[in-house]
Amino acid sequence: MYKTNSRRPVFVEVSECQMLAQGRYPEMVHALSLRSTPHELASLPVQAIILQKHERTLATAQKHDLPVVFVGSAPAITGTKVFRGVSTDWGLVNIAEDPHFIAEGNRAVIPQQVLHELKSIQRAGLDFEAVYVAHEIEKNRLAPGQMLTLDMIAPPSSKGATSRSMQMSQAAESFWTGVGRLLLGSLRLGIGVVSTAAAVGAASVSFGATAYAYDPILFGLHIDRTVVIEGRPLALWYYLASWTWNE
Amino acid sequence: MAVEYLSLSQLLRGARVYERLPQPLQQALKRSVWYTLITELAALSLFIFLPRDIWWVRVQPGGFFLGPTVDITNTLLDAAVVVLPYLMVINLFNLFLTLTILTVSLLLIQPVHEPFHWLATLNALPAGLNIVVTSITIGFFALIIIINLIIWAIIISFILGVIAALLSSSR
Repeated sequence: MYKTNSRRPVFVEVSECQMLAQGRYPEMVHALSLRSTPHELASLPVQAIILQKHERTLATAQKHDLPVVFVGSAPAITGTKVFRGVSTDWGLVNIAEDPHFIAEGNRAVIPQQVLHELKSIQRAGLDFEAVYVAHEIEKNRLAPGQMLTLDMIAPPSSKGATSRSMQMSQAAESFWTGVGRLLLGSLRLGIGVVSTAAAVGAASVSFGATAYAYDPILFGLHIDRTVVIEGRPLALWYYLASWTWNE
Repeated sequence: MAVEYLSLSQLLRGARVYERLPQPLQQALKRSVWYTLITELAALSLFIFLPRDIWWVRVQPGGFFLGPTVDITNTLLDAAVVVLPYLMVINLFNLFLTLTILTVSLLLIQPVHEPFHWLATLNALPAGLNIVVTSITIGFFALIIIINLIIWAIIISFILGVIAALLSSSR
């Protein structure tokens, strides 16, 4: 799989067969086109220390049955890189430049289950110098050279939390309607009833509008700062996690 | 300009759990908070501006109130005197909670964590019960006064009728 020379530079080849391409996100892998061909990689010099990290990463992932998968070798980009997909597009960005990350006060928002998986990667002794996130976005929403914006990627409200909030809201409305009925006898509070119906309708509409959520994917990078391609350092990219909002 | 990278360990240190993100209050819950606030302010105003003498006022037989309505009215007044201070303490505490919700949510505009949704829901209970108890008590008083007014109207009509009959027969 890897050709190593006693003298630097060290050359890396990538297997043609990638787990990701056969897994849950084949479209994403093809769309991102991060997989470098063996021919392309053979021309890229990688430091021995980076290669050691790479080997250790793969060995640890295999040993601990982690979801870490080597995707390929590509420069650690700046700004947003747009990839055209089949039914959706993808915007790839350094997590430090991610609009949602910045909007949340430089804190990533991750579902609990995914957070648990990422922590298990960390507990196994793996770390990555950089993390990138690929956001699935509406087809043709983003032109090459444009930056991702918060409205393109902001996640919908949590389904569970929204459902509980709606239940509480309906309970409160029912309570006040009951109080109104009790006070006014059999007369209903017309406004209350109308507004309840409107609120339930609006809530359903808003939930429906946010029910379709795009997938983010996290990548971990081992960066080789000694190799610069088009002004950016070369990096080895690893799939770490992906999820669907409201899954 | 040097590009900043964030390592996985740095990312995880500051990560927030998606399911625990603050949520905006639903419209009906917002209305409930406003109803609660209005109810509490109305109840507290009633308590503050009620004449002090009312605590010691009892109706006497032989006046406007007739027959058993005297005892019913006095029983209601006794109950109100006992219950009202407790109600007002509960109201004051509830008002504090309502103001806390309003402050945290910046007048119900900002999303808040789930415990505040629960708080806003439960917050309506004391206010609602308060308005029911107060309204039933006031309703009872109003009913007793209406019953007495009707009785008085019948008595006065009867007396006027008798007088009219006497006057017409004396002619």
